[in-house]
Amino acid sequence: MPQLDVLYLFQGIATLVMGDPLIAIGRIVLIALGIAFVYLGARGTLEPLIMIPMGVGMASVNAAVLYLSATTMGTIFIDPMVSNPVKLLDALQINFLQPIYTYTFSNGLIACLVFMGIGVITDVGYVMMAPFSSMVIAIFAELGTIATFPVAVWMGLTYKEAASIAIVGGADGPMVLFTSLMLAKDLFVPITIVAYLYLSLTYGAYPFLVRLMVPKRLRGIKMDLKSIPKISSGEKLTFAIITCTILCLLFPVAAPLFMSFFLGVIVKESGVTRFIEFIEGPVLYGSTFFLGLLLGVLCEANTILNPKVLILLILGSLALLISGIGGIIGGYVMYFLTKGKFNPVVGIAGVSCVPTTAKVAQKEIQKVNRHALILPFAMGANVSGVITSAIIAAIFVTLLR
Amino acid sequence: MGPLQVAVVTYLICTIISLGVAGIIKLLFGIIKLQRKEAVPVAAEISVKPEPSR
Repeated sequence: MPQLDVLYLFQGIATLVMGDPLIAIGRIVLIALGIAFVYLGARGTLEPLIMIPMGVGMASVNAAVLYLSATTMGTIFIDPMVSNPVKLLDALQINFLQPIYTYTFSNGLIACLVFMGIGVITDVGYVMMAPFSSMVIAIFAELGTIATFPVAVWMGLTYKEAASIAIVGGADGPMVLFTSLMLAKDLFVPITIVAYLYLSLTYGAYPFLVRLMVPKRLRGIKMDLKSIPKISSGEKLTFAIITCTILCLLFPVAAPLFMSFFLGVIVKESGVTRFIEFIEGPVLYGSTFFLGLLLGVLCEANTILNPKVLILLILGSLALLISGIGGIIGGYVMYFLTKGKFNPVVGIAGVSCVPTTAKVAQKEIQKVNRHALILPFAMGANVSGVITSAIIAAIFVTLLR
Repeated sequence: MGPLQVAVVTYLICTIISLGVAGIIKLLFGIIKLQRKEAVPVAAEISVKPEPSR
């Protein structure tokens, strides 16, 4: 019988004991964080659709580090840094998640599929019923993105990295993924993780911001729902195809995002049931599942322990905070323009975390006035937020790529 | 361009395009409303016009 080497047999433990102590501590922290994500996702504190697969991936990948050769350590999950075609071919045959990463993640396809799913569950009619007020709020809610960009540059990030982290202010996960893949491939893993982590926290944090910025008496304002025009599917379809074409014409570099979103909208409005069921079911949930899983698997200590992560954490929260404040300022602008008929809380929905922020607005208003219904207006601002975030992402990518 | 300039230019372009999108929606509604208004008198005219006997 050959001599039994315990450390050779249990390589996950061996790499933990024999490797760099800092990386070992990082691995243990990330395993604990992964388990916490699963727990908090299952409890509903964090977004379960992303956090459960992400937590499982994060805990597993950091536990499963092994010796790939006598001197190198790694995993057989994924190698995000491989670029040499021959090595990539090897990785595709060895790492079990490599094909999904290479063919759907690193080219932004998964972000576009999620965006298509968002399109199919989005009703653009909400924007069309009050286009100017929705857009004004959404523009104000982009203040976080705009203000964070120069701050990030002053904190030492390059323009491309700064733009990628600033986009977190738009509160749109697929958009952050797309922009960081285009502009800062080396940092896209921590940036996207920071984005998704904070986006799951918006549901808990934004209500406090609303209560802090809007007094109770204004929070209870009832909005006039009778003046809302009825919008037909044909009108929504016409708007979607015209806007999609114009935006693709203006920003070809972000055309995959625009096309995916408006394709979803057009499929929904055209009423092709089979396509609607396919996109809002398998496409949206399938891509969300793999997005979460791959983000978790990419959180390997070696990849994620980057000195810039702390800066990204600060900047991500700053971007979302300023966007929330900006959105509420937009709500106040509409309140004054309409001489008190507009509920300023709707402003928070300009932060385009569809439909979370719209739900936050409705929930906060209903706590003060049970009869106040603002959800259609909040959804309008929400969908407009998606459009303005995509426009800003497109401008950043076009200017800085 | 400095970072502040990039931010300002981006915001300005975003504002113009976003308001442009809102303008498209308004225009679309305007055209649809106008078509509906025109369609009503034409329909009334057709219904009043006597049918030629065949």
